[in-house]
Formats: sequence, C-alpha cells, structure tokens
Amino acid sequence: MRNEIVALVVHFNMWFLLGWFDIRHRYRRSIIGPFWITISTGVMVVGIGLMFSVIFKSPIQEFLPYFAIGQIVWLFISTQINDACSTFVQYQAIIKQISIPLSVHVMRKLWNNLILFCHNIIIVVVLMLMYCGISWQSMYVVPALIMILLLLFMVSIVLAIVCTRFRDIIQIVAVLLQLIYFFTPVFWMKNALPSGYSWITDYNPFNHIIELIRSPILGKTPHMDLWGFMAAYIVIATLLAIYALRRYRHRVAYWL
Amino acid sequence: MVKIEAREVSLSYPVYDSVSRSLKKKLVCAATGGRIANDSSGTCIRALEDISFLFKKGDRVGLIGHNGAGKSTLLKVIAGVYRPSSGSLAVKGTIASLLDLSLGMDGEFTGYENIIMRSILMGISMDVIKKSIDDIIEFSELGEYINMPMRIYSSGMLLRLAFSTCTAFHADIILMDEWLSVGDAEFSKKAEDRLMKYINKASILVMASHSIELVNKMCNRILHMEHGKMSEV
Repeated sequence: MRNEIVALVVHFNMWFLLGWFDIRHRYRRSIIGPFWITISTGVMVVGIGLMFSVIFKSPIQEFLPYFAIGQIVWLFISTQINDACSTFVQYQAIIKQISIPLSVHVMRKLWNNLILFCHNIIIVVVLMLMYCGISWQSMYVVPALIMILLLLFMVSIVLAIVCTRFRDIIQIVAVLLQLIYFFTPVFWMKNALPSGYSWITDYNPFNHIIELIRSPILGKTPHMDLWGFMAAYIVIATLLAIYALRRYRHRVAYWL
Repeated sequence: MVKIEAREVSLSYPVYDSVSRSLKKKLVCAATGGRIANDSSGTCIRALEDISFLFKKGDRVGLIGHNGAGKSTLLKVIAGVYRPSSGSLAVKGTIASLLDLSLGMDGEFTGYENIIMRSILMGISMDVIKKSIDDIIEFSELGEYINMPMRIYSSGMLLRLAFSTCTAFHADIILMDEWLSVGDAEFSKKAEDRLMKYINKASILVMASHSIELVNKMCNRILHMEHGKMSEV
C-alpha cells in the first residue's frame, strides 16, 4: 500500500494531467465544454426539485437545496463507484504495456469524477445564495469531502480489482446502486418515513455519507456519530484495499 | 549497474471467456499438463518455461522465434507488466518499452498535446518534456500540422510523431518488438539514424524479431525461443 501511495506522488502527472485530458476529450469541440454537466444536472435538479416539493407538499426553499445537494453528492459517489468497476478495463491498453502501480489508474478515474463534481458544486452555491445563505457550519464540508474522497479511493481499488476478474459484478453494482438510490434519503426526507421504518436510513452507509456533507451546507453541525461511521467505513475499505492489492495486484494484467 | 537477470522464470496465464470470467465458474489454473492445459474449468496457457539469462551493459539481445513462441510475453515480463508465475526477475535501470509507439495518443488532441500525453506515459517529467518538445516537433517534420487535431493525420504522420516522441528520452534498457521503420524512404533513413543513436546511448537492447538477418546485423547475443523455452544461438 505504501508503494501505491508513493506512486501517486511520483506519477502525479499520470493521473492529474491525463485525468484533465480525459475530461477535455469528453467535451472536445463543444463550446462550453464540461459546463454542460452543470447545465444538465441543474435542469434535472430544479425540475425534479420543483415537482417533488409540490407532491410532498414541502416548501420549495427547504426542499430544493436539500434535494440538490443530496442529488449532486449522490451523482458523484454513484458515478465514481460505477466507473471504478471498469477502470482497469478502460485503461487496459496502458496496463498491458507499461508497469505503473494500479492506484494511479484508480486515482485518474476519481480525479475525473471530482472535476465533474466541482462543476456541479456551482449549482449548490447558487441555490444556497438564493435560499438560505452560507453559514459557518459549511466549513465542515472540507473534512467531510476529504473523508469521502479517501473512502471512495479505497472502495474503488477493491471494486476495480474484483470487477476486472469477474465482469458480472460491474452489472451487479450498477443494479444495486439504482436500488440503493431509492432507499437513500436524497429525493425524500427522513422525517417522511413512518415510525418503525427508520432502520432504512439508520443502517444505510450512503445516507451517512450524504448526510455528513449535506447537513453542514444546510447550516447544521453534522451529528458526531456520522464521523464515527465514516471513519469505520474508511478503515474497513482500506483493509480490503490493502488485502486486494497485496493478493491480486500482479494478477490484474493477466485478467485483462 | 544496469542489468536484467532472470532465474528459472516461468509464466502461465489463464484465459477467461465470458463464462469462466463470471462468478459462476471460478477456475483454478492448472499449472501442469503442457502448454495449453485444457480441463473442465478452463484454459491455461504456458507462455514461458524455465527461462534464465543475464543481460549486462552492452548487450544487444535479439529474440527470434515463431509467432506465439513467447517473445512478446518475455518483453512484457521484463517491462514489469506480467509478473512471472515462478522464478525471479531482477531489472536494474530505467526501461523504455517501444512495444506500442502510439500508446495513449488520441485523435481528438493536437499533435502537440499528444507529445505531452505520450511522454507522460513514459514517466517523463513536465520539465524534461518541455525541454525536448521542440526537438520532437522538428524531427517529426509535421510543421504546422503539429497544432492540428491528430485525427486528420495520415497513418504515416501519426507514426512519425509517435516515433519522434518515443525516441526522444534516454533510457537504460530498450525493449522493442520488431525493428521500427517509419515513413517514406527519406524519412526512414533519418529515423534509422535516430534510432541507432538512441540505442547506442542505452545500455541494453532487447529486440524481438522474425528476421535472422536483421538480428545478426544488430545484435551481439541471439536467443532462440520456441514453445516458451529459450536457447542461446
């Protein structure tokens, strides 16, 4: 694992610059480029936000920011998890030609999605200014985001390795994520759950992750438990990643 | 001290099809039973068998053998892509692998950007790239085209760009799959000079080839590979 982390520094340009090139490639020959992602997410978030605030009879100034933040964080997490599964398959030409520690490829993908996430944050900032202002609690976003990135990095390493060997898991993960979306309070609020159903959110790691970053933006101090949960997830994912790397790092090239 | 030392390196790898790649059939690779071991659980290819050698500074190694004899696999083992299933391999020195010249290049980007992308994949730092980029552009003779997207290049132009980039940075060990010949008659001569200079600066060259004449001309050590086994000629 130490080698893999050192590699991220040594091969900095291999994920940082090539990751930029990936994004530029995606929006090549488009005038506003990656800001299309801001527009498409913005349209979707405002559209669904308005509709659901009517259906759920919640005030728009409360529901729209809540939904927007949750949805944008969810998009980031779920896209990264989906992409993680096919990372090595996508970069197989490189993996089969030159020897670079695998974490560099994982980092390149994560960096890709982080760039897109940053484009979406514009929407959050605009909505906050429109509806509720920015409070001092927002500073919790920084440690929260760092923890989320760390967790995603570790989870991505594990998924990338496993999915290269068993290609069906790529599809399984995609289906599961779709399902999890509905069980995670993104477009519905926790207090809408009937009594006796709170376990749906209490034991849902995705809820913990999203809540950790959503509550400070909405001006609340995140619950202490959330930090604990997050730390636990990171420890578990890191152990799994260390195990997967140690055991299968050298097998990945054969599986491609 | 630059060297490549292999001790009893063997390599076998499983071939997964859509069925055996899935969870349903987790297969165990049978290491025994010939080069292609077929059993109910899947196919396992024995690409290298008990290969030992020591390449030192000044060695110009030519690997000859039929298709599928294991030449390219051996190059990839030296490059660190495949780890041997058994045996040990020690490589000291920086490696330039010229197995796929246009690796990482992309038609949507300009020639200039592609030089950067290709160089980064070779592990070259930005400072060094910036210092060498004018020389690369000049050698490739692409002129104004360097600022055009690469998708409009002819295949010859693309190869010239890739070749110029790949041979621009010094490495201790050069791995080559077949001799590189690039472009039309005139450029080809120029490219050959550059390649010779590039190789002469390196400590070790390992080149796979089908042509015995070429290997005789270029190399001071010739190794013959057959069915994954190696013998010195």
